[in-house]
Amino acid sequence: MGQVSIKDFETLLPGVEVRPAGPEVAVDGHQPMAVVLPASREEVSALLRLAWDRELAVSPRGGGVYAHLGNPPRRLDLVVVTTGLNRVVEYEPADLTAVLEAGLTLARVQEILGQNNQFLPLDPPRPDLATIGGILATNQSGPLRLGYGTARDIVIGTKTVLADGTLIKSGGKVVKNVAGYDLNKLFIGSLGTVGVIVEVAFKVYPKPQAWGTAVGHFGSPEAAWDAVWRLRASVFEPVSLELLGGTLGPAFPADGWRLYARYAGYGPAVERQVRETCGIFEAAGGEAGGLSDAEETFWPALRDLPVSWQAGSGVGVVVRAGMLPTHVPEFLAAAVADFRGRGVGWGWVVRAGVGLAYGYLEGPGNQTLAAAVDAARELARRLGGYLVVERAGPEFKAAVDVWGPLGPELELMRRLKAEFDPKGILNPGRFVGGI
Amino acid sequence: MAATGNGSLLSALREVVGPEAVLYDPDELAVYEYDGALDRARPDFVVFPQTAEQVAGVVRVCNRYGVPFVARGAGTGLSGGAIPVRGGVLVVLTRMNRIQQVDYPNRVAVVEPGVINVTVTEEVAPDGYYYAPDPSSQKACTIGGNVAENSGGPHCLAYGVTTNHVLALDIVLPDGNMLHVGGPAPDRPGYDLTGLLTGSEGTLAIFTRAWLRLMRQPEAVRTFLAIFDRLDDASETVSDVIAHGIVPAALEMMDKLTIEAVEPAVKAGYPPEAEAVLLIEVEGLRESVDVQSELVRQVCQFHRAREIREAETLEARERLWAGRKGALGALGRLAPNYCLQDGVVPRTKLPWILRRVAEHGRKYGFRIANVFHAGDGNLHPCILFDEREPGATERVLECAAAILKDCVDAGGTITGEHGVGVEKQNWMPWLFSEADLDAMARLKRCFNPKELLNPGKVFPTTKSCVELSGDVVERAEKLGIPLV
Repeated sequence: MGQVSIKDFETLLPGVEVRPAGPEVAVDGHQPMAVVLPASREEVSALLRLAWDRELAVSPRGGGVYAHLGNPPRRLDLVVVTTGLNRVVEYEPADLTAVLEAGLTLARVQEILGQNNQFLPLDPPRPDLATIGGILATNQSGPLRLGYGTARDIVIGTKTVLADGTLIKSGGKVVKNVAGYDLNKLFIGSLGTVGVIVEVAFKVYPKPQAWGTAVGHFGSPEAAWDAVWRLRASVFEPVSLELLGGTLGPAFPADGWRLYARYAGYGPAVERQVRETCGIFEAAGGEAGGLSDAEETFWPALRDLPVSWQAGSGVGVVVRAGMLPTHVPEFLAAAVADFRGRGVGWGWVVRAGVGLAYGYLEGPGNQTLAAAVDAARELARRLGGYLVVERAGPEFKAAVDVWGPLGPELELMRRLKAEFDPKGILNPGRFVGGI
Repeated sequence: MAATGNGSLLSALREVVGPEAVLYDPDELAVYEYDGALDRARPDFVVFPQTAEQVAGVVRVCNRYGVPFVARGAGTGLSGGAIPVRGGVLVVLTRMNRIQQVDYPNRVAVVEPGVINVTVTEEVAPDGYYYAPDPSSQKACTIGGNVAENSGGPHCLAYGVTTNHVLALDIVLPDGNMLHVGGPAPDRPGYDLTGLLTGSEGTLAIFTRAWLRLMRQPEAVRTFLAIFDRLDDASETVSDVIAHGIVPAALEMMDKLTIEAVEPAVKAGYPPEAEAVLLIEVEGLRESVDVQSELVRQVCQFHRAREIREAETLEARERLWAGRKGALGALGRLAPNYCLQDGVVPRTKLPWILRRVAEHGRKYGFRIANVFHAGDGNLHPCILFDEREPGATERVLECAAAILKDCVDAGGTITGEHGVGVEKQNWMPWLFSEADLDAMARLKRCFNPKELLNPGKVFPTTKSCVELSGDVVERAEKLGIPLV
């Protein structure tokens, strides 16, 4: 980059921790010059002002759990690690709200809230590493998404440092607030391209008293989907409803299709729902039963799968397809038939009530895999959906745009990027349409 | 600003929507100079498009003539969001009122912006579904207006406000381009344009279609009326219910003055001598409703509820709710005018803010009725006054400002669900720094750079509304608009 050396930081940003970058913070093979570890939002602000003045390309990073998301950066000078922003700013249990610095890990937050029998109903992969800010920027969710939604549904306020170092707030710390534009929504899912989130206010929830899981094993995907529709038409409200099929690694059985319905709430209600769900699964032709110790083993393993999964001898990618739930069966059938023809191995985890299908694909080489992903993306698109490549190696990414094409709304997104980061210093090139 | 070859603005508008769908007679326009709030401003034209293409056509005409335009639904808004403070064309969307699709397996309804809120639920209720956001004006207000204001309602305590229930939108941008944003496929890549548009108070785009989330009706519902002799006991009950880990479907509070107004009008069965009542609804599976009901009873009793009544029948439940939903209408009987505010405080600050509201009422010499979404900490102090009394309107606004300033000081906000509009724009700096407001202005520039769409809203201004709504003809001349 040339304009600044690590030594300069000592004078330009006195007191801010700066380290030479190792390969562990490289983004898709691009190694930054330095890693900066600010300890406060003022330090984030000061360092972005410096980057802005010198036009240094900055990539914000939390625990690095989803550092693989996005296209390769066009350029990269600094990685800003936010884990030093780890204070609980304000937590009033009786208000059911918490204001947290963005570098806190989700696991630490759950520990703090748990002392008051409360929790944050978000379960993206690796809560031990994933930070609040990283979860928001990548808009990651987990199996609980059906019951509780995503970050956009529970975030009530944010503080963000914009590209030029300006600190702004949006929303507040009360559960209802329509004063001004809801800029929280701009930052959630923006992959750090319009600002660095430094503080987040959440609605928190009382911890359910009881959890329970019913599992059904089906001989065909048709029977499993029949069970999905029967359950969705009932008065039961599973917080997770996941359909698994194909090869997903050693922790998951690989025979047929399994549907997992998870309930949370008061004990007697959970018990009844698990029992009657088993009846629904059986009526759809499945073998059904309750799954004991699911909270300790099955759900954490499923939650972490998008980042823990490893391909066997071939090349692997993790994709996420999204569409209306009723379109997923057709998508899966067509995609699976296509993969078989190409010799691509597959496993699917479908968030069945939501319409998200996570595909774990393995092929003999990047070229075959890229062709398979293109074909699946076209299938999703024809069904009104989309497909994003969530995890892939740099060679694969060189051949495939991980986000896929967007429609005419991309023009507005480009305008947003131009207004909020006109110099293009935040994660340049990694987001949709080259943003 | 010069007229194009085919003549005047009027004829251009008529060409887009048809001659019957344009109003310009001052007597007819008068109906459209106000919404549910206090401010007024008269449009120069009112148009009634019936399709998204007509909306886009109207917007392009407005761009061609350089005149401002404002979208309007039923006009029930409570912050002046739908009044054209700089005149121009009012785009009334009430004729776009079809429910286009109902899809139960995917739990989505596709509706036009002029669909009345309650008709969505009425359409799907026989099949066991409903649309959750339920503003008190739900029998009149439109979905387009709800999305613009990010409306709330009593049942938002458990299920969230409008933004949590809008999956996608068709919009007309201020330059006349038509666009689809959002799903209905979940978590589409890119910036969350649907989320940014929801609650933008009609200043970023005009909505021509919305994809709404439908919810399954719960198996069981139980509704309670808890009666209190002290206001403090009622408000402490509210925070204690929440603190006990119960999230009722609704938790509403009404004070003595509200009860006095409601009873003669609605006959909901609220005891007139009570200092406050809480309307508490729990729902879900039978088993969890039973557990929650018992907990609610215990908390109410602990805080000295004089009596806890349960609605035993659907009719009884509806009567209890009729009191709550009819409260604002009934308050109209107590005074010629009222000023309804919409502050929010953290729930634990409820007892404090209610005492402050009473103090402000005494200080400014107004009776203030309180009817509000207590479970969310969202108060609706309703200041009763008579605008014919000299200086009353100014004092009411001062009193309202004092209450909202207290809400902000308590860590809350100036509006929970009604919007900033014109009424509260100059109080925005209590919450937001110049940098915060500048970031919002950047967002606005992306959508509405020429500020022709709904100008003069949300952001602080130095001009007063009265100053802006001058004589129609004079303003038209100033703008160079040929009136006919």
